[in-house]
Formats: sequence, C-alpha cells, structure tokens
Amino acid sequence: MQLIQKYEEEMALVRGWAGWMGVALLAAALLAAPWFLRGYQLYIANIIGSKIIVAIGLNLLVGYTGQISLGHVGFVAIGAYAATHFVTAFQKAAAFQWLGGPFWVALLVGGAAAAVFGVLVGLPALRLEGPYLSIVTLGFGLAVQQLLINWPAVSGGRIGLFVPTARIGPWLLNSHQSMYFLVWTCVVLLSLVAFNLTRSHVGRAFVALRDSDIAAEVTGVNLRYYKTLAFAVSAFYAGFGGALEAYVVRYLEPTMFNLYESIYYLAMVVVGGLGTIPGSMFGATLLTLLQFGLSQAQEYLPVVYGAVVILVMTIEPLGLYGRWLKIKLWSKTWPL
Amino acid sequence: MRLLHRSRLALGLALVVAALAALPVMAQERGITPTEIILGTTAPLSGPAAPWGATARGIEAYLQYINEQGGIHGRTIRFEIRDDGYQPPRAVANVLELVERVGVFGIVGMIGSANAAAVRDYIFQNEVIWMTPAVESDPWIGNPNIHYLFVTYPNYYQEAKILARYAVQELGKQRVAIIYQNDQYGMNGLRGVRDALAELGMAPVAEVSYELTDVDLSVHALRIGQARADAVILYATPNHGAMAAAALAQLNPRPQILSSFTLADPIMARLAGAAWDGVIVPSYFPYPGTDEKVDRVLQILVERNPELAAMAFNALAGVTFIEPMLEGFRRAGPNLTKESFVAAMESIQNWDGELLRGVTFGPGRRQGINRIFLARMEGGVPHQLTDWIEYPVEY
Repeated sequence: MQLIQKYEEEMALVRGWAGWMGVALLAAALLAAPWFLRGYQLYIANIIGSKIIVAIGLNLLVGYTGQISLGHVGFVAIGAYAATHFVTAFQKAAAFQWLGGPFWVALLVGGAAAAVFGVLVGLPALRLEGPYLSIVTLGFGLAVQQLLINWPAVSGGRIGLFVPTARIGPWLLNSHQSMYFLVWTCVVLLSLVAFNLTRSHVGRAFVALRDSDIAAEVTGVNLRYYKTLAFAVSAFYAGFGGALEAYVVRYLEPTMFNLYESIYYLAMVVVGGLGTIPGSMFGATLLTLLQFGLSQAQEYLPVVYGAVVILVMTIEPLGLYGRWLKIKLWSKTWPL
Repeated sequence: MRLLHRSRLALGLALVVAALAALPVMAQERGITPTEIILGTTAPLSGPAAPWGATARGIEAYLQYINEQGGIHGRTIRFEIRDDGYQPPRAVANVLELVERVGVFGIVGMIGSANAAAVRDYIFQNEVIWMTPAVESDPWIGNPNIHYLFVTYPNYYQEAKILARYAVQELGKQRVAIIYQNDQYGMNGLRGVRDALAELGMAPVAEVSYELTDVDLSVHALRIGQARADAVILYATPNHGAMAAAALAQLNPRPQILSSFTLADPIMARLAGAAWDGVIVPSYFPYPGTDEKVDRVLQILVERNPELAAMAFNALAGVTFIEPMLEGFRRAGPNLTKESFVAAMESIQNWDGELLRGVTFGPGRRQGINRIFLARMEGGVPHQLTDWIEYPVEY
C-alpha cells in the first residue's frame, strides 16, 4: 500500500512503479501494433482512435458536467466537413500548393468549427435540463444531417465528398500505417489534455455543476461560462475526431452522420464509464470493435451489440472503467 | 525436461516457418484454391436499408445450389457476406477485410452509391474483380480503371429517357412530371427525363423531390395535380413509391405512372394496392411468373431460403449480379486466374443466362446489358408492353 503524503502525489496521473510499468507497456504495445496488425485491422484501429477522441469529448460533457447530448454526431459532421473543405480550398490556392494542405491545421479547423456550434448549442443548455436539453441536442444533430443532405455545395450531395490524403511536406500519409501514427498521436495528446483539464479548476467546476449547479454557483462557479465552455470543449473533441475520421475513411456522405451514430457515441461513454477518461477509451474501443469486427455476424450484429451493452451495464453499472478499478484493487496485494 | 521443452519449441518454430513458407505458394492467385473459389460482399443486412440485403441472400442461396451441383470445374464457391449497416466506414472495413484477410477472388454486388464510392479507389488500386455494384453508371463512364469491373445493372439515366420518350411518343402524353428521391439515384432519373423531353422540344411540367425521411407524399401529389400532369415518372424507394402512387390515385384525372425498375418487385402491388394497377415498370430480366427459367431459379432460391419468397425480385436481382460471373468461371476452365477470368468474361457475347438475356462484354466493354422492356402491372401481375428497348453502350 502506498501512503499519499502530498497533494501533488494525489493528483499524479501515474502512480508508483506499477503505474509506470503499465504506461510503458501500453506505449510499447501502441508503438509495436503497426507491425503486428494487418491493413484492415490498422484501419479499424484508426477508426477506433477517432471514435475515442469523440467519446472523450462527450464524456467531458455528459460524465463530468452532467449535461446531455443526443446530437453529438452533428459536431462530428461539422468537424469532418470543415476540415475537408479547408484542405481542399488550401490546395486550390496556388501559393500554398507546395504545402499540399496542412492537415494539422485542418484538424484544428474542424475542431474549432464544431466548437463554435458547441457554444451555440450550449446557450439553450443554460435554461434547459434533462429531457428538454436532450431534445434540443437531438434536433441539432438531425438538423445538421438534413442540412448536409440538402446543401450539395457543402456535402457534395449524395454523391459524397472525397477527402484529400493527409500529408506532411513531401510525406504522403496514404497508408493505414502512417495514418495510425497520426491518429494515435492525436489520441494520446488529446487524452492528456482531457486528463489535465479534469484535474484543473475547470474540471472541478464541471463536476460541481454536475452535482448541483445551485451549490456550484453559490461557491463562485460561473454557471454561464462553464456550461458553455463544457459544450465548446466537447464539440471541439467531436469535431477533431470527425476530421480525423474523414482522413481515415477518405470519403464523406451525409448518411454517415445519422441519429444512430449519436446514440452509439452516448453508449460508448456509458458502457465505458461516465466521468472517466479511460472509460471513454474502453467504451469506444469495445463498441467500435463490436460493430466493425463482428460484421460476419450479419443480421445478428445488432442483437449481439445490444446484448453486450446490456450485459456490461447489468454486471457493471459503473461501466468498464468500474470493472478495471476493481481489478486494480484486487491486484494490489498480488500475488496473494 | 528442459531439453524436451526446447526441442518442442524448435519443432513449433519450424512448423510456423514451414507454414509461412508455404503461404506464397498457396496464395498464387488470391481467392482460388484447387477446390474452392472465394467471393465476398458487403451488404446492408441491418440498419435502414436492410430489405436490400435480400440481394446478398439471393446470391448465397443460388451459390448453394451451384455447389450442390458440384461447383464449377471441381471448385465449390465460398461466399462471405459482411454486414455494413449501410454505413460507408463499415463497408470500407469489410472490403479491406475480405480482400486482405479472407483473400477473396472478387467482390460481388454492393448496395448504396455512398458505400460503393467509399471503396471504389481501393478496389481499383488493388485490381480486385468487382461484379455489378448496384449503383448508377456515371462513375464507370470514361473511367480508365475499370479493367476488372463487370456490370449488368441498368443505367438509371438511360432508363428515365426511355420512360419519358414512351410516355410522349407511345402514350401521347403532353404534360410529363417527375417525382424523385433527392439523392444520386433520383437525380439521375431527373436528368434523364429532362434530357429526353428536351430532345422532343418539351420540359417537365413539375419536378417534385422528396426526402428519404418523408412519411407522407400527399402534398407532393397535389403539386403534380396543380401542374395538370398527365404522366408522372417515379424514382423512389418501394415505400415512397407506394405512397406516391396512392396519393396520385386521388387526383382527377389520374395521371399515368411510369416507374423505375427498382420498383419492379411484386411487393409493390401489396404496398400500394389498387393504386399500383396500370403502372408501367421496366425490367432488365423477365418477370417471375412470365418465364419458365426465371421461375425455376426463384424456386431454387426459395427452397434454400424460404424468406426470399417475400422478396422475389430483390433476391433474383442478386442472382443477376453473379450469373455472368459464373459463366466466366465456366469459360475460364480449370486453370482459373484473374487474367483468364477477364479474358473469359470478354468472350461473353450475346449470352443468355437463366435470368439475364443478351449479355455482352468485350475488350473495352464492361457494360453487360443495354436494354430493358416495359410492362404494365395489373393486380401485381406484369403484362409485357414492349419488346426489348435498347440504349447506348457507354463504358
């Protein structure tokens, strides 16, 4: 057992030699994966990475701040289309052609565009709660998809939009392997940002709002600011994840952003564990793997998917992260 | 004891190495072994477009029958079906998996323009045989990468032109309108109607679009009534087609409906009831109930998968995707390779299958069929109106 003596120790992201070993193993596994996984497995890994980013963002909103969003796919779509149009426009500008459209800026543009809409959707959230807020966000998600369908100049209509290949200078990221490194670097960076955010006064303000917004306001948390901020940050993650997914799939079409997807994102967060960053990762990984890996189950896929979600929630209401905590607790006195 | 352990390990390693070494020899031609041909498809078996998954089930049942007959040149055909829920990212994952892990010889069919568009470049770059993606023809026309693509699916644009011309020239209609789904499929229909009418010095009197999410088309029908259209061309899903027909039947005088072949399934008579009587529908293969060979195939399918009885046309359409491919296998002989298959397919000239008739491929020709015929539906029973009507070969 470890005795925590200082506040910094309590706040540390990684604790003790076991923690560092775990981090090292995870890093090694992530780095080694491209040499062990086949092309299509890497593609799925890349999709998982982009979904993890969206799930982390949604968890900041739902798990930490206690707001709800049934239209998160709207932010994902905005991010994906904004990034794609930014890169395409950039490539067309003759002066910048040698840059080939900087994808890292595009990813940030995708995130920022979504964040702007996050603020807009966050405003009604100041007055609405629970079921009412869920309907507002639901409407937002549906509206974005309908807008895309009926605005061919943006969405390419139902013909779809082809996304240019990401490139760093002369290096074209046209293999699943190179995309893997891009996607997972983003996952690591954005996870760290999220971890730090939740440990900072901002994260505490979010949690305070979730537990009781009146009590939070009394203790000096600016409700208007932090609720809107939560929506903006969450939307930024969604937009960023959407932009990444656009680069991975290299094709966009409005049906990719339907209501089902919003529900799936919410399911990832709940199954993984509300209010935990690793939970978002577990949830996004499990549910994406189920969808993509079980395509052989054919008609039974939705049944299997549903059964797994029900099973996880029944035996572990705190989600996969709850189970992980129990395993950690149990292994503290290992090997006895 | 430890020695034994080591020797076991060494033996294990040797086996692994041997297996790896054997791989390239076995994998001379992807998806072909001395006893098997492996094919695959990704289809919407769950999600909003699940009914169209019947095409994959039709292929599966027909291949089961072919295998029961002993396969082709001693090879049975394994058919791997993957569900994509009508989602492009999942369709991409499925095609990658089918090609890279399963190692399929070819991809058969594919439903949904978006899904086909998302995998198109990958399939072309990796030179995978692709049989009849059930989408519009535009992406193939003038495309230099279609060497391994073979299509026996009608062209929506050309079909729309034929329907518009028939309405004006044969039925003497003067005010032609169109109801179309606001997507790639519907837009192709709209383009065809506009162009055909323009050639006759006319224009559609109304162009009414609807969305996949619409649940009522009575307002759309009223707009047709306002335009006093005497013929309406319909590019819709089965459900919307039925809704439109029911709403149009309320108009007085009732306009003549001509619909896309995608609404040729007899299920339309059940969905729309009497409103579907008199509708003119094309087809690219003879209707079940009008042709002995087609009836026999349908019977084969239903015996192996009774659920297909309710989706006869879709299941049969699935068979039309694969039928010419099987003929290609027969012609390529026992020494099947990708190139011998392409050569065999190119030798198919004016070939009659069980369902498809008059299929022609050739060097530089990938459009296997270029004709449809029209029929009038009465009580769900088609009555043939015309002989084959040809349209240009474009790719």
